[in-house]
This record gives sequence, C-alpha cells and structure tokens, in this order.
Amino acid sequence: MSDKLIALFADILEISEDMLNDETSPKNTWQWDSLTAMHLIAAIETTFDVRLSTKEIVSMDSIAKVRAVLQGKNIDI
Amino acid sequence: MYHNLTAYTLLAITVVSMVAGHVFYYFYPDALWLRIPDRILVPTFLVLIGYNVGRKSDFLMWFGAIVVMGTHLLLYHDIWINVLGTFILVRALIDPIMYLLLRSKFWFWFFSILFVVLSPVANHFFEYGTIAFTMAMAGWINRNRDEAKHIVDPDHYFIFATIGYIFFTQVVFHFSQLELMIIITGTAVTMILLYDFRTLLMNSIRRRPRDLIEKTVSFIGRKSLEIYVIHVVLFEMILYAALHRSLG
Repeated sequence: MSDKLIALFADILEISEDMLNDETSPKNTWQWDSLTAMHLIAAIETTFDVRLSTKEIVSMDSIAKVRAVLQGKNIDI
Repeated sequence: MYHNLTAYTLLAITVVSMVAGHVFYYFYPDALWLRIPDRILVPTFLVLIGYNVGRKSDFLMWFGAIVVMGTHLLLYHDIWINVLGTFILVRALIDPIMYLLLRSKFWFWFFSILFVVLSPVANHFFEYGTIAFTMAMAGWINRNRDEAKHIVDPDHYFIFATIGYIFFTQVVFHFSQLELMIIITGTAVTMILLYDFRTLLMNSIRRRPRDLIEKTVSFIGRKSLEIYVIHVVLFEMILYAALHRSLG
C-alpha cells in the first residue's frame, strides 16, 4: 500500500518514492531546503487538514519526525 | 484571484528587482526613482524570515555575510552588518522575541512601535535596522495565527508593519511625493500577497515549472541567497577597482 506521507514528500521534493524513507532528512536530501520546507508544511497542513505550531515544525527534521507529529494529532498514516 | 502567481515567481521578481536596485545603488546613486521596485519588493525577504520556520543560518549565509561585510569595509572603510547579517540576527531572535512579547498586549505593542521608531537609527548599524524585526514579526504572526490571536490580529499587524516599513523607507531614502505614492501602493500590494503567502505556496505545488522560462523563474527564486552574495561582491569589487583607477 502506498504511504501517503512518503507520496507527499516525493511530490514536493520531486524525488522518486523509492528514494525516500523515514530516515530522509534535510541533512541527506539537498532538495529539502528552507524554501521547500515551506511548501512541505503548506502541503502537509492542507492534505491532512491540520495546523502545525512552530515548535512542532522545528522538531520535524526527518520524515519519521513528521510522521510522529501527525500521529500525535490522531492522523492515521 | 492570482492563481498563476507562485511563491517562486514572487521571489524571482524580488531577486531581479534587488539586483537591478543594486546596479542603480552602486553605479547610478542619484537616480533614486530607479530604486522604487526594489523598495516595494524588499518586504518579501523580510516577512518571509518570520514566516519561514527554518531557524538555522547555514554556512553560505554566514560566509556571504562576512564576505559582503569585508568588501563593504574595503570600499567604504566602514563596518556595517549587511542584510545577510540582519537575516542571521532576526532568524536567531524571532522565536524568543515572539514568545516573550506574546505574553502581554502592552509590551507587544510597545516593542512593535519601538522597533519602527528606532529603525532608521538602527539601520546605521545593521541593514534595515529594527524594521526587519517588525516585518519578520508580521510573517511569524501570519504563520502562527493560533499562537498569536490572543494578543494581535494578523490583519491589524500587517497594516501596522506596512505603515512602519513605509515610514522607515521614507525617512531613510527621502523619496518625492509622487515616488512615495507609488511606494505606498506597491508596498501594499506586496504585503497583500505576503499575507496570502500560503496560497502562493500551494500555487507552486499545483503549478510545476514546465518550460524553460518557468524553470528559470523557479531557479532564481530558489537561489536568491547565492545570487545576492555573488552580485553584491561583484558590484563592490567593480566599484573598488573603478575608484582606485580614477584615484590612481
């Protein structure tokens, strides 16, 4: 089954889903720059219909952390 | 209303106007009116420091700030923190400032007004002075509406920041009445677009660059930092060489 979060990251970062996993972070993915991060946040908030606080966003420095924050908001991903 | 305008397009227009503005600043300093587009679009960079949640100032930004400060020192014999230094400063301080000021409506507005009033003086020490904080605060409040709503309405703060920025621009640059009218109108348009920046971000996602022009626009928007550092260093070096040749 396709992972919705990975699919979203693949779309915004313009990388194949195969290249992404929970360890993906700005440190190992040059496409994940500060400008792309703004797009990612807007896309996550829109797709999952959530509002993320600054503290939550700052903590989201890998796909695993994004997943954890969303799961903390009872989003099934 | 503007479903074709993407975040990258706004940034690219801002970068191009910035480079053009610097051409006029360094090589045609008396033609102040040529700097109107640059002044109108500068809020894009300042507001986005607060809107963007990235708080790390990377190597390139530090490197750029130091190099540009060095070339400025060489050219003008004056230590002045350029806009990259201001970005580093504001990025580092915006969260603590906001969390502190959002505790009290009185202190929030007291410091907001103080930042505007002090900005022309602070501009002598670091580029844009304290107005950079006012503008970044507008971005921060826009992005974190829920966290700020008990103290300030984003609409009101955007209007305040727009007026503050126009005050700063006029005190520092002394534009004519006609020029000022254009700046007021243009700045208001820029601030409206920044107020709705989320829409521009979503437009970027929906509207991927397809042809060479759109890809170039996207590239310019993404590489604004690199473009800033390269062109300012280049312009200051050209000016330095030209001045030394004329003196020699």
